[in-house]
Amino acid sequence: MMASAGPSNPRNKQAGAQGTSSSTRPSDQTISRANAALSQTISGISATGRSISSLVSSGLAQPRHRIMELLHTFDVSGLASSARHSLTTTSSIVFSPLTVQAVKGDLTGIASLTGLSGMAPHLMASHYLKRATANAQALALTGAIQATPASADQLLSEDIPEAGARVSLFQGFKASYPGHSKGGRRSKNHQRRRKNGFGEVGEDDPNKLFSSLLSERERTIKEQVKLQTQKTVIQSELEQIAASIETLQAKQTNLGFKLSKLTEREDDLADTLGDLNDKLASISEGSKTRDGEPLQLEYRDETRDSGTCMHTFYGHDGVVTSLDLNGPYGTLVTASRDNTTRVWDLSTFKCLGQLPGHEDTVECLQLTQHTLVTGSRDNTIRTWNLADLSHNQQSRSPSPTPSDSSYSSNHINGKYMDNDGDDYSRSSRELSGSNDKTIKEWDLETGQCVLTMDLLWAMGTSNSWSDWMNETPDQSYVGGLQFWQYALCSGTIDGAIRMWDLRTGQSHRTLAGHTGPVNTLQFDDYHVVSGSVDRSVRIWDLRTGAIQEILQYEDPVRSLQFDTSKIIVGSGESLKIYDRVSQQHSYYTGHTNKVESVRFNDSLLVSGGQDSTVRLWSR
Amino acid sequence: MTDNLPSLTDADSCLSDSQLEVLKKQYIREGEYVTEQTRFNYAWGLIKSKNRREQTQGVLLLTDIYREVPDRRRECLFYLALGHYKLGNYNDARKFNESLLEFEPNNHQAHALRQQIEDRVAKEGYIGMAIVGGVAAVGTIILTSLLRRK
Repeated sequence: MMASAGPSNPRNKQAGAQGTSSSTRPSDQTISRANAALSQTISGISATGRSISSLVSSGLAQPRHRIMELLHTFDVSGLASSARHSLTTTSSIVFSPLTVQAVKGDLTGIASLTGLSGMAPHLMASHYLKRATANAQALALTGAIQATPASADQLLSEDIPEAGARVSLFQGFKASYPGHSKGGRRSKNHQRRRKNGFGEVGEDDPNKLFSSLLSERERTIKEQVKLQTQKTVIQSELEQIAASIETLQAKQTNLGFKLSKLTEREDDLADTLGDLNDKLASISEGSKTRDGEPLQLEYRDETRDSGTCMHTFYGHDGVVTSLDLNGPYGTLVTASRDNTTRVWDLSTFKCLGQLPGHEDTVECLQLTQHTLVTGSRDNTIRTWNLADLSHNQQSRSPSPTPSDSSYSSNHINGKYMDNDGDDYSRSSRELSGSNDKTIKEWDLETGQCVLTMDLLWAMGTSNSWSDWMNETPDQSYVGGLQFWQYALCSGTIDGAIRMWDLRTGQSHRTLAGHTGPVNTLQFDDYHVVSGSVDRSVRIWDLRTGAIQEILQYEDPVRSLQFDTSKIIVGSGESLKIYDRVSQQHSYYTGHTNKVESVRFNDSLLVSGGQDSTVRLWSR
Repeated sequence: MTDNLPSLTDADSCLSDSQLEVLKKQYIREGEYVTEQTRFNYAWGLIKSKNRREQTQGVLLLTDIYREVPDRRRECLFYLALGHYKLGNYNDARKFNESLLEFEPNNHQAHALRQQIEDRVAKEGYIGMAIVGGVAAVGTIILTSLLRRK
C-alpha cells in the first residue's frame, strides 16, 4: 500500500498534521479491516462507532455557506463514511485517530486533520478563482451528494457496450502529458539531458553532436505521435457529439409531427363541440326531443397518418352499392348487389348480421342513430329499428324487425332517400326518388305518401334536355337527394339540380351545368356540391346560383360528401380528397376497383367499392 | 490492450505537485464543456497520488465518467478497480476487476491486479489473525493471573 509508514510524503507539506496522521491512519485501517473480516460479533460497539462518526459529520454540518465549508463537509463526510466502513470492531475505534479526536471533542483538530486550512489559501491564490469555484463547487457537490462512491453492483448493472477501436484513455493521457507517466524522474532526466545536449554542442567531438541530434529527432517524432493521438481523441469526441445531435434532431422532428397531428385533432374537436352545442340549443327550443346522439368524442388513440386504410371488411360478394354509419365507434350498414345488407360493429370490426327482408338488391340506405331506411329494387322501402341489436360479440345473427310495413311504389330502380328529424310537431319524414320518375315524400309514422313530385313534368318545363338519358341503362333516374326542413335538392339524370319547396311541391330553381347524370349531391347553408358521370364535381353558391368551382376528375363521380374543410369524392379506384382550405388534392388508394360510395363521420371515413370490400380510413 | 492500460507500478508512482496542479488547471479551465480526456487525465492523476482524499476524489470522478460515457465504460472498469484497490475497498475492486476479466480474459494488467488484490487481502487476513491471537493471548494471561491471585 502506498502509505507505508516511513518517509513523510512531500505532498503533505501543506498541512503538517495531515502528514503524520495520514501515514498512521491507513495502517490502522488495514488492521481494522482484518479484524472486521474475522470478528463480526461485536456489533454493539460498531453502533457506538457509527454514532460517533455521525456526530462528527453533524457537528460540521453547520457552517455550509462558503466553498471551503463545502469542501469541509465533503471531506469529513467522505472520511466519516470510509470510517463507517471500517469501524466494526473495538480495536478500530481505539486506533482510529478520527474518533479519538471526536471523543476528545476537538473539532478544530479534525479541521486541521483534513488539511483544508492548508488547501484554502492555495485555492484563494489561484488565478482562476471564479471558474475554480464553479468547478470546485461541482466537485464538492458531487462529493457531498455521493458521500459514498456508488456501490459497485449498481454501476456494474449498467450496460457496458463494446469498446470502439479508438485511442484508449490512457494513451491519450500519455500523449498529453508524456512527462507525467512513469514518475517524475524521467522528465527531469530528459531536461538534464537536454541541457547537457545544448551545452555541449559547440565544444565536443562530432559524436556527441550526432547523438544530440538523434535525440532531438526522437523527441520531435514523439511530439508528432503525441499530437496525432491528441487529434484522434478530439475527433472521436466530436463524432460522439455529432451522433447525439442527430438522434436529438430525429426526436425533435418526430415530436413536432405528433404535435401538429394533435393540434389538428384539437381543432376538429372544437368544431364538433360547436356543432353539438348548436344542436343542443336548437333542441331545447323544440318540444320534441329526439334520441340524444351520444357525444362520440372519442378519437382513435393512434395518431395515424391520414390516408391509411385502417381496416377492410370482406364479406360481400358483389358490388357494394351504398353504406352509412352512425358514428366512429357505432354501426355501419352496407348493402351490396349480392342481395344482402350487412350490419357491422365499428368498435370491434365484426359483422353483426344481415338484414333479411328485401327481395332484391338494396340500392340505397340511410342510417340515423337507431333507424335504418333502405330502398331496393323490389320497389319497396323498409325501415328498420336497430336499437335491439346487441353489440355483444357472442350474439348470433340478430334480426331487427321491420318496424313498419313496406311501402310500394312503381319501378324502383335506384332511389335515394333522406331522413330528417323534424323540428316542428310533425312525425319524421322521408323522401325518396325512384326510377318511376317521381320523388315522393313519406310520413314514417303512418307510412303514407304525402307528396309526389313529378320529375318529367319538371323537366319538361325546363329547357335542359340531354341525349344521354336514354343511353345509360343502369343509371338511376334520381341520382342525389337531400332535404332540410322544407327545402329539397335533387340531382337527376338530366344533369340538372333542382331546388324544391316542399310546402308547394314545386321546383323553384334549377342549377344547370352538368353534362352528365348527377350521381350524388349534398348541400349545406352556403353551397351545393354535386358529382356526376361527366367526371366533374361542381360547387355551387346557393345565394347566387352560380358555379363557384369545378373539380375535374378522370372517372365518373359516383359518390361524395363534404364538410367545411374538405370534400371527399369517390371516383375511379381511389378516394379523392379535396381540401377546401388549402385547395389541395390528395388521394387515398386501396380499393382494387371503382369506388361506389363514400361516407364519413368525425374521424372515420368509410368507402365501399366494386371490389366488394368496405374500407375504413383514418382522416 | 496492453498498451492501452497502465501497469500497476505506474499506478503506484505518484505525480509531483506541480504536475497534478497542471492537470487540475486544465480541468478547471475547460469549465462546463470539459472533454472526457481531460477529466480522465485529472482523475488518473488524483488516483496515482498517495493522498487518500485525492484518491477518493479521483475515484468519484472516474465513477462520473463511467456513468456518463457508455463507450468508455470498459476502460473505466480497470481504473475503478485500481482506485478501489488503493483505497482499500477490496470487495468493490474485485467486482470491477472480475467484470473486466469477463469482457477481456486475456488482459494481463487485469490478471496482475487480481493477483495483487488477492495478495493484499491475504496479507491483511494474516495480520488480523495475528492481532486477534495476540489479543486473545493477552486476555488469557490477564485472566489466569487474576484467578491465581484470588
